[in-house]
Amino acid sequence: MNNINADIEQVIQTFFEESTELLIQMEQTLLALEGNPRDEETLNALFRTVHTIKGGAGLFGFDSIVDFTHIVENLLDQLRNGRLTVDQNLSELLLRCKDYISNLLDMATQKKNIPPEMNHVGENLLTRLNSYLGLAPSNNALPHPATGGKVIKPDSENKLPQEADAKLEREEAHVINEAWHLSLRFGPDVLRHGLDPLSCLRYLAILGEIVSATAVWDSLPDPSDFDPETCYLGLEVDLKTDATKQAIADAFQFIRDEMRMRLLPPQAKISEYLAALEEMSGNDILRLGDMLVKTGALTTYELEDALRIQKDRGRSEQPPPRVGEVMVENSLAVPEVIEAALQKQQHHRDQNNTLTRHVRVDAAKLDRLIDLVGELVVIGASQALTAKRLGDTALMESASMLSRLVEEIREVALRLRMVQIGETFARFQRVVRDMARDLDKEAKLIVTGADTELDKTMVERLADPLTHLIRNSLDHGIEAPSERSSLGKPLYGQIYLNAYHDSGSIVIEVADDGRGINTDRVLAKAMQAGLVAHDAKLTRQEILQLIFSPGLSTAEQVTDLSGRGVGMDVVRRVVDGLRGTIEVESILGSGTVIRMRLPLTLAIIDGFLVGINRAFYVAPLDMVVECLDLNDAQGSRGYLNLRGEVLPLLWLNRIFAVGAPEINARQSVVVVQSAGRKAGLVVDQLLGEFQTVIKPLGEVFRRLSGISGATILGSGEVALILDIPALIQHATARTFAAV
Amino acid sequence: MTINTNWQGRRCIIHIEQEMNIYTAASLKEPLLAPLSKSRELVLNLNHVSDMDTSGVQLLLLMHREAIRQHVALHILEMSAAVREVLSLYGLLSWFTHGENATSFTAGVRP
Repeated sequence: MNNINADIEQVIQTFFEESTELLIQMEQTLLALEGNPRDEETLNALFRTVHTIKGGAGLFGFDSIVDFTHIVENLLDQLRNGRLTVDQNLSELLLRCKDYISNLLDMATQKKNIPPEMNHVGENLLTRLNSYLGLAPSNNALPHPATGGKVIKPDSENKLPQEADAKLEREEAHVINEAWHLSLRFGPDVLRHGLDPLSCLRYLAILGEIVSATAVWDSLPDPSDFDPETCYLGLEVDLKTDATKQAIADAFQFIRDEMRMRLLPPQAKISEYLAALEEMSGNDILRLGDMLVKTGALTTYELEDALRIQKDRGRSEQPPPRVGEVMVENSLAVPEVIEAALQKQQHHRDQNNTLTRHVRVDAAKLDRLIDLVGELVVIGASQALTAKRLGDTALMESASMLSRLVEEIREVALRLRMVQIGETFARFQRVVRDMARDLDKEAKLIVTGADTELDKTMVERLADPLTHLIRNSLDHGIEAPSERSSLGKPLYGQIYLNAYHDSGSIVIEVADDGRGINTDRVLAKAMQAGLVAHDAKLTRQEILQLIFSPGLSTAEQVTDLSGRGVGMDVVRRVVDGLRGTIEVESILGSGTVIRMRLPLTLAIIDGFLVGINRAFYVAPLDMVVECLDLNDAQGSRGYLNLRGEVLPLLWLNRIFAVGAPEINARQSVVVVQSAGRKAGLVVDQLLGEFQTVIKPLGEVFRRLSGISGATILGSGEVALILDIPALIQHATARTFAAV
Repeated sequence: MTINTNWQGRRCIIHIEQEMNIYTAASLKEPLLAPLSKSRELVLNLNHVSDMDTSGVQLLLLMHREAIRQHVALHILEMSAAVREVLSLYGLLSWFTHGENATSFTAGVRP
């Protein structure tokens, strides 16, 4: 029993996750719709999204979600049918509805009741939705099954019977689900051929209990065009019966060629079909149509129809439509049943190919795997080292094969954690849109490189800093429209969000075409705040970096500076925590770029191993540019002339106080680069490339500058990982001090 | 063919004493629709309609719609069992029986 509950919990969890994804999609779709309000494809996608959430919620009995999404779905259907068009207000309303559904989901996730203030929001939204639907709030527009959930809105002329039946209809609402719904439309000549729809009704009355029958007569023409012998009527019938779908369809056998008929099974039947599908196995899983007929969800007539339509359309359409699509479009069978059948088919196929497309894995398990792979890397290196020492060729060969495999495993394991950053980026569309509106500005977010992949934990941690940066760009960078037009800039401010890979790291840029940063004023402000000495000479980059200082981050100062600052120190802290760097470029009057450079992953680095007086250090390989012999003449001067480029030199043995090198020992220079600046590190030994797992330093060593972590070598010795950006900073500062 | 049309000023009373089905539908159209344009109130007595089918129902529905369009009050005074059965099958009975009291069913009466 517990097992079953746990299983259901898991399925519900999956529903929540999927719904969350769907809602993100919905937001994107809505935003896309603002640009192209009549796009059929987008409208359909929107409808499908909401419909899917509703379906899932219904399955798990989240009635509040079902009730709400139902009304939203009605509205979307009106959009889809072109009876309503999306304008600014409606789009706003739908976005709010999306937020509300998201809140409802949260409540359901936490198994909480909906708080009254939220309920109030919901009612408000419903009132607005209903006013679009042209309905009073009390009459929450029950779906009309025959029309796939669309609200049947009576013409003014047809109002009378509808009004008379309104009460009845409401009373029937709760039984409608137990009854079959038959939607019947007759050909014009049925009466002339002596076939009267009445006889169908009479036959149905034998088959079961007719809960309600309603004549549909909106196609009655004007009296002058009215031919008394032509049939204009249709019927909507709710029928309670134990008969199968095929048996009901058989009732119309004699008139079949001259009518269109849609049979909508009651909810209970749908569950029955789904259960039957679930039970199908092996040989039963054939073609979609056969599967559906076998479960009873589709009559043989309907299958014939579907195949005929498919064939007809196949002549003009390439590729021909799939039979499932045809069935849904012509509402021959309930979409969820077709969906289930398709899934079953797919599942069967996947099983045959021993392939499943997606597995949801707990992130903690993935972390554990990567941890283990990390250990494997270390042990592999150790084994290779031992083999080398023993000089056993066979062992060395197997060790090198092992290390190659381990490397592959590592790559694959790391890729498991990689996610595209696009999903994170996408949410900023909404941030920009809402915030621009609040600030009375016009702005567009342009996203590029959304398919760039990086570690999932990094993506999560980057969300906040990115929000800060984008808000800052919009708030302080982008000018008000009036100011922009007087400057001759396009009215729409542009904010760019860009991601790309660059030599082993990922670069994320937030740029705007706003007013830029006034470095003079930043400097003045920083001096005033006592962050910089009054006589300090700072490079432009250093001044720009000041915007990340905590002291410059109060709102008042930011406005004074007409620059950035709110939470910029937070941004800095997060990026530092991710072993990344941050650069600012800004041109006064034309914009600012903030560039974050981050490692691809936090767990493993490719390192370059160096030795200094028998101690080992690792420099991240992607920061190593080249290695040279140390020329005596250059060594004494504290700088290196590298093909005309002057680089500061750092003696690591002095910095880390590991003692002087052995006399006459040949020293080498490792040229490293970070954030566009280079420096030379003087070391005793170059030991080559080395793949390593980073172990964070204990609390005691956390404040050590120049060291970012440690690792264990194959020999069991500890090597320290060099914090290259900090060292370069140090070297540059020292050189300037010396000059 | 027995359709009796009596005028009482702008009030028109129509007695149909025959079948209202596919065989008679064509002949019924004109006598049933024509009085609408000349009357302010139209009363139907269907007590002697021996048979009705879908074409008959259509005629009644058309009359009803035109009555509203032309602001004519339309009543059904009485109906036979056959008419009652058909209208009830079509879910229209509750609507048409209003007329039996000869008062209601007067949507859109010209003031």
